[in-house]
Amino acid sequence: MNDSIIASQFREPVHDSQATFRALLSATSRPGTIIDIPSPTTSPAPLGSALTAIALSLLDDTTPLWLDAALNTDSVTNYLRFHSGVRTVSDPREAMFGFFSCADTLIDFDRFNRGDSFYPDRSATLVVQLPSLTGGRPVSLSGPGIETETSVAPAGLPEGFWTHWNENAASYPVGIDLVLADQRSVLGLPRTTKASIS
Amino acid sequence: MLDDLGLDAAQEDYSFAFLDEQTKRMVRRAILKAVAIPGYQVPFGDREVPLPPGWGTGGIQVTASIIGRSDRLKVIDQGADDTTNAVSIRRFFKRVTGISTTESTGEATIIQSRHRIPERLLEDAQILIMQTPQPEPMRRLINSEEQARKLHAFARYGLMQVRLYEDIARFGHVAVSHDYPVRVHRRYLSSPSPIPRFDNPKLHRNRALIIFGAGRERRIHAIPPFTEVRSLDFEDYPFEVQKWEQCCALCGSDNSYLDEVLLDDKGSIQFICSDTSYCNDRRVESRRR
Ligand SMILES: [Zn+2]
Repeated sequence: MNDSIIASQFREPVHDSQATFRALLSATSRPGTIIDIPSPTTSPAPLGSALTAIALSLLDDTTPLWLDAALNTDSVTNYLRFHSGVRTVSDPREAMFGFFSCADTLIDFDRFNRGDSFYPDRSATLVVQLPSLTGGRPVSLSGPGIETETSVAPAGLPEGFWTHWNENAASYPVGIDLVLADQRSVLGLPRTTKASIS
Repeated sequence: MLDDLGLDAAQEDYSFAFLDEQTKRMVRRAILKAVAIPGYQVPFGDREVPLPPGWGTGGIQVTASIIGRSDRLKVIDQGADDTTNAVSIRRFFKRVTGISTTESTGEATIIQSRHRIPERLLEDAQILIMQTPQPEPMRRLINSEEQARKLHAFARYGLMQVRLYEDIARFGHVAVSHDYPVRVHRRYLSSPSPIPRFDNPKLHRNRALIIFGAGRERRIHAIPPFTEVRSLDFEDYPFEVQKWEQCCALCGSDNSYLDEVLLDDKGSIQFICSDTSYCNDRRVESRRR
């Protein structure tokens, strides 16, 4: 195997994977909190640094991955296949993870597996690349992991997103889970999180 | 017992925290879903975890999948840091991770525990990992896994209410002293692991993330911070915790969980805190004053 290709993922695969997971765990257990995430040494454009780190940390040959049209390029799929062994699928219903290059087409997340009442854990986790996790329209979040309420303002979400998100939250315990990411950090939106738009 | 695990020092990098990377990823994905669905038991599948079955493997798997170089680990068994099992698990992690360990609740970033939740209030940055022999609260009442899953799917927990009410009819109170079932986030009926019911109120809106690992059953469930956790009860028989007439003989605490200790062969007894770190802190504190 070629050392230069192997070296171009995490600097320290074991420890950086662990740190990436801990960032995701913090983000999921404290929704609305922006958490820094380790950067891999390279990432295959247009797959950003945070999404690459999440892929390297969580994905393998047991986790079918769906990529949106912009991410579904040879350089991205080759990179992911080489470093994590992940298999990409074109049918969103078969995906355990879905990666989005931007939030424009996210509104349609009902296309993904939402789990069922017997196995709500079998729902998809969607990871969405945003220009920034701040600077957008503020909304207030509540639910497990949040002491009372917390305000977030991710930029780049489509019109009507939060209304649609609340429909997902209303179908609890089934539903998808979401991770919003910019280049350096993540913000978790598990299905238990409700948004109130002022 | 864990010293029998045949650790290979030469493989240090790839055996950080002992588990291989694919096993960790599998456990990590299960943990994230468990946090997203509070109280629901996430099965973590088909992959054999390379640890000998038996006491504590569920907690060890969770700790091994979470722990990193900057963590400080505390391990307690029945509230104490110095019991054989707590010591050997602590030594095991020290050896396979090189991280520092502590007996102080306040200094730990990860606390792996069996049968107790520390008396000291946990903080935002801490994670409590509970070892769980049987994660399915309905298992005491029904044998079939399929049947239990169906009851969870429809949130039909009447059977458990009936079971607890039978106690009230017979004894005048619910006689369940440990592993008292809770309702998490107003949805899933969950087992808090065999903690005394004294500890149940600590689960409610705790600041720390709590993760329960069941090794043999291969299930993980979690309670995120600030999550509503209610012990099952009845309007006319509200949930109550154990109370003692005595204070701790060592530190004088009147609000901690006490163990009865035999002092001599004449049957003299003493009550002392089960949480040794809490008791020590209080004694150090009072000596300073
Ligand atoms: Zn004491």
